[in-house]
Amino acid sequence: MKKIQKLLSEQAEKILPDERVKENIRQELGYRDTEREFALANGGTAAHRGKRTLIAVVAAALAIALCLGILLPLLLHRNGTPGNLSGNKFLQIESTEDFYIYGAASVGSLLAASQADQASAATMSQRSDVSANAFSHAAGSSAAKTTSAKLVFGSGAASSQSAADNTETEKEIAETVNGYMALIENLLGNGSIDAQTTATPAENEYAGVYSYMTTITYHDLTGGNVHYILYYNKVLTGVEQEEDGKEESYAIDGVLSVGSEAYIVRGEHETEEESEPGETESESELTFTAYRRVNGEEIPYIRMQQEISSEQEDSETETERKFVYTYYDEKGQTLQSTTAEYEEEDGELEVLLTVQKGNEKDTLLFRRRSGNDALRVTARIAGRQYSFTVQIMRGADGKGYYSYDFSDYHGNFDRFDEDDEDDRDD
Amino acid sequence: MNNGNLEQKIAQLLDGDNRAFDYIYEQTNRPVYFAILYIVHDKMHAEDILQETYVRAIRSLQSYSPGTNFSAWLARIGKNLALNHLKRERREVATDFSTDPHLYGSQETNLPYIFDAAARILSEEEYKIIMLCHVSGYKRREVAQMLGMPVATVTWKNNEALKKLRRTLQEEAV
Repeated sequence: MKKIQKLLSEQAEKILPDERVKENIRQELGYRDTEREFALANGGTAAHRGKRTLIAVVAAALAIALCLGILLPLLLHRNGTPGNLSGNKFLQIESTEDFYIYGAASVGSLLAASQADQASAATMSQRSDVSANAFSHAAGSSAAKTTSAKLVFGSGAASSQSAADNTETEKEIAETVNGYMALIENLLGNGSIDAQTTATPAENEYAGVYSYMTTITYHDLTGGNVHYILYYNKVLTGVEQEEDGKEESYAIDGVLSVGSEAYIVRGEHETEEESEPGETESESELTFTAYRRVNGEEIPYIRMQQEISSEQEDSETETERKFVYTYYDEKGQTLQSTTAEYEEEDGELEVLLTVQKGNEKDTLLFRRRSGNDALRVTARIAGRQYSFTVQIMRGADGKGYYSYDFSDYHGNFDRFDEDDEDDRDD
Repeated sequence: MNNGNLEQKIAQLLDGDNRAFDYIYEQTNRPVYFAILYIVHDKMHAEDILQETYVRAIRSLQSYSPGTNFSAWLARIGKNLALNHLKRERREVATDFSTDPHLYGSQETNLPYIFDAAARILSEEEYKIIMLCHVSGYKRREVAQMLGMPVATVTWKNNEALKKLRRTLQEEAV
């Protein structure tokens, strides 16, 4: 029955009512645009007072997308060395605690990238010559400050050429791909995500507020150690015994410390299980949301939603895992959502990102072979296909950076064939 | 969906606080939409009727009895409007268009086959459950609350409906 469910959900867009219906109703009822109140996913509401400039929000989101990941390695604490590739991080998630830890690590990496982006945007805003080279200049200026960022455009023997020598297309593609490197850092980094949970120490500022303190550590792609601290309370929200199964719900409420910033975070984990003769079905869903304050209101900022469902029918078990990362604007409305899927085959790890921005959909497949520091990337961006390599390199100072090689445009695009869809599920 | 919150927002809207509309719409539009779509089998018409449903309902919000099922009240209005729409279409096109609407030009937008099949073979309740669980992505517990039925009933009907759909698609070899 999983295939029927999948068929229905995949075609949802073709049947669900358009957002314009709501606006038409508002218009017909004579409601003014200032009379708005948005439903928050956590059940609350946020009033919108006054019109905000959409362009500024979109520009900010674009800036985040462009710079996400590039500066991430610069701002994170690191002291490790590159290790061996050790597998699919989704498979390491086995318990409720694992869900929370992964959620904190994953959302934490995006928050860190966002912080880096804001710092970069502040630098860029002081420049008057925002030209085609702005991106590489920004990376360069950051490198001057931190002595570790370096983004090399070019190919093969010309890999040391400056960004100005490369085609606009190559630069645009590299910029777009960099927008997703924070996630890739998190998903394809070396080793597992480690966590140490203790009671919150009495001297800590969150003592008495949050019972638990979990320090989360993982290696990024360049081998550096990344760590965040999650302070939280965990609440069992209910166990419901049905005739054909049980349903359990947990929630967490806390603060995620990322660098010098702390973000309010909330998580909810629900599992549903049901069975009948010859057939067992279970669904598990985690949402982990970081909030920001806008005019005193808590507005969702970045949400990770994970759905793992498995169905056992006779002797066959089908499992489907989906991770969806959603960015929200200051009104709490969706800016962009990225779905991440893992596949591991013959010593090669693959992460497929599907990025939805309005009606536009981009697809990026990252492949990393065990023991190899290069990422093969096959992408379909704005309707066009590209293939290239992102080399993970280390400078003389020991800091890591990425180099883009566009010399190979002959990628294998089979992965994106429609017929291949089913292969990703299992 | 928290019915207490919804009732509170309805009261606010009645008191003239128009900001409550967004919450009410977001919390209720899907079951109403699918009740309409089940009748008209057409996305564009269903959206038009959904719009008319909310406009009429909110203009006569005083006639809603607080504490009863607001979504069900909206769905009743929507279904009546959908049936009126069908009657009007029948008067305009004197043929049995409901079985093959595309032949008579009464269908504006072609839906994927699985949705047509679902509307054809499932009961209204089964159809709404399938659409809310698998198209709109609500949890069964939320659907149970929306439709005012026990979670176990939603689960059972959901499974039955999926089996019916699977059987039909296999038979029709889609």
